[in-house]
Amino acid sequence: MSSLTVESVTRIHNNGFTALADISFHVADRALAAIIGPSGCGKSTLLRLIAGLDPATSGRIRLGDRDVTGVAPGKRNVAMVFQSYALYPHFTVFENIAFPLRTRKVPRETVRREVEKVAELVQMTSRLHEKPVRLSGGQKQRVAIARAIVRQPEIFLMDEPLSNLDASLRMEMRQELRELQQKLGTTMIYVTHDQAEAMTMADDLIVLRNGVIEQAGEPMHLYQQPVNRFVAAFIGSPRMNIFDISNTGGQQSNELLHRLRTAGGEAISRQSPAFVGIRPEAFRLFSDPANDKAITVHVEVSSVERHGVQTLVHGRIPDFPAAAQTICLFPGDFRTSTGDLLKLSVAETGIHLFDDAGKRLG
Amino acid sequence: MATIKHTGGALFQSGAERFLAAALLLFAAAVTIAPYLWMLSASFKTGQEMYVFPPTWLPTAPNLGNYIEVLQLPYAGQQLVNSLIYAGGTTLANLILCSLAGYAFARLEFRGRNALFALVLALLMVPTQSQIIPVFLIVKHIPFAGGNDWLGNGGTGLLNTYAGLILPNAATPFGIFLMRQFFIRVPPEYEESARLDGAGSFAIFRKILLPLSRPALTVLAILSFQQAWNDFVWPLILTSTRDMGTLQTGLQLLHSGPDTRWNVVMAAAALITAPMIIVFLSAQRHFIQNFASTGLKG
Ligand SMILES: Nc1ncnc2c1ncn2[C@@H]1O[C@H](COP(=O)(O)OP(=O)(O)O)[C@@H](O)[C@H]1O
Ligand SMILES: [Mg+2]
Repeated sequence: MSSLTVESVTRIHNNGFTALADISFHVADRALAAIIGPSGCGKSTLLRLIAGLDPATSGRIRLGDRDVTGVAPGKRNVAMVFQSYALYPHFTVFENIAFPLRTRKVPRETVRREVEKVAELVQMTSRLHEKPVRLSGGQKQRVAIARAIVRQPEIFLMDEPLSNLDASLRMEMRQELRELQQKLGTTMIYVTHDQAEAMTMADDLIVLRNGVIEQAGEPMHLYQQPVNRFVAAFIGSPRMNIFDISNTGGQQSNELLHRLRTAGGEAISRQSPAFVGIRPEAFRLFSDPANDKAITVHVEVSSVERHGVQTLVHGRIPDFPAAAQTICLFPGDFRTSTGDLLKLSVAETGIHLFDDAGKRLG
Repeated sequence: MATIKHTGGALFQSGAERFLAAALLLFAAAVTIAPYLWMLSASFKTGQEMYVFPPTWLPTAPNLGNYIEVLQLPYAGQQLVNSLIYAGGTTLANLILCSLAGYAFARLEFRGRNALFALVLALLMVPTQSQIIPVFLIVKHIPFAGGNDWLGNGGTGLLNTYAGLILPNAATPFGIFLMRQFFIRVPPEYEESARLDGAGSFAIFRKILLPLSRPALTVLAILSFQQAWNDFVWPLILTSTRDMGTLQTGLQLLHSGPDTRWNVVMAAAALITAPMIIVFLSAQRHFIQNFASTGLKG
């Protein structure tokens, strides 16, 4: 029940490795912020700094208006759920959940009442007297969450909490966790490398790469306006198609390349866009020849994946240098087969242009 | 943590293989247990039967006379007390000191940690025999003990004392090594989670780490107790009076003369060995039970 402010935080590990460089962001009270990025980008390191398990090399961390930079982890009033759950194997579920209260010398009767209350919240009431070994992955997860919420922390930290669960359980827990967080109204920092998890759960996304924030903001904003090629490719599934248009491979520039380069307007085309990004779902079947705002793209189908709810078409675009590969996504059952030449269109607003360093233009 | 699955019958498939395996194991067990059985058998024999040829496996007229005689030996009670104090004290000291030192080597970051640990390991490779005389001299010259002056001269130091018996073995390099290896394998998340929950270092050590390390502590306790209980050389060198001797030195006195009565010696040996066997048998259960539990993803 508190906001989180991270100001120019840097973490250099004891071996001299810079895991985080000048990280700043703010998470509003009661919001759920997801930190995402590929493995090794510094997500866990950042979470450990917020928890106080490791000291920041420089920078400040604030909970609400309290500066907790040098404060011991036990005095920060943050709770963390570890990727491995870290349930104490020699304690029962009850004792595990009660542990944070007992270390704070909460009276016996209150402990029992509080533990029972949160156990009910996570639906573990019937397993209170079992040891963690006897529980399934999902149940251990629930106990770990119960242990985190029992002492009503100002902020929850979760390090890839669902990564050890199987796919269907992960979907279910995603939903439950989000509902629980909203019910309790506690700020949550959620680390994951799964962009779908982050997109669906978070109020705010923080995309991290090599210890640097690439972009932060609302999920749909990052989806629509990625600041660079990395974020563009990281957010969204299937990934955005990114084509190199800087080099025509000796070919004459054709109509398609010309239309793409100038899609952002005069000012942008003068900055010579080097890459163009088109989301798989931005392709439409060509229908209205009069609509000159849309760009026509021919795609030669090389394979078709039918998922029922959607159809993924893998193909090549002959007008691009080296007939670049692409993925197109159509809702429902899209009738086409290998070898077809599809005439598709993409709206100008569906075109993302990047310079040769990968930075967004426009 | 990985789970070890029982291979079940997969190891020995055919009946013949299984029979062969069982036969080999039985043979090994027989070879191991035969001396103990012989000791037991002899301890119930009379003096004459000891010299019968061919020797009998079962005593013709089993009697408890030898045991009664052993129990009535002068100093037997005192030696038992001494042995218990020596072995118990050594065990307790090792449990406390080795777990603390092992924890420090495994988790605390301090300057010179690796060099210090290398020294501990190096000590593992120094033969005990080569340490006896220096250790004896150190124990004898402890300042202010046993009438010594501040330079450790003039008196007997810790000779003929329990402290002198226990202190040189109070923390063994092996025990420190064992506990460090154990703590290194305990995931740090347990401690970190507890720290976040507001537990202090000592509470974490006592409530989380010690219970988790029960398997390692059990091993350490048994090895320490057994080592001290069976130790003969150090008590022999350190103690010069009969009332400070341990059971092992007493046993040695019992068969040092030319007219040794082996049936009585065997009864004494049986009595001395019994506690160790009981400890091993009862600990076996602990080992297996404690290996299973882990609260991490599984
Ligand atoms: N204690 C440490 N000492 C040195 N390097 C570390 C330490 N902890 C993590 N690192 C390095 O810092 C980088 C970020 O690690 P981490 O935050 O765990 O990544 P993530 O959680 O995003 O996968 C990695 O390259 C990792 O090797
Ligand atoms: Mg991580």
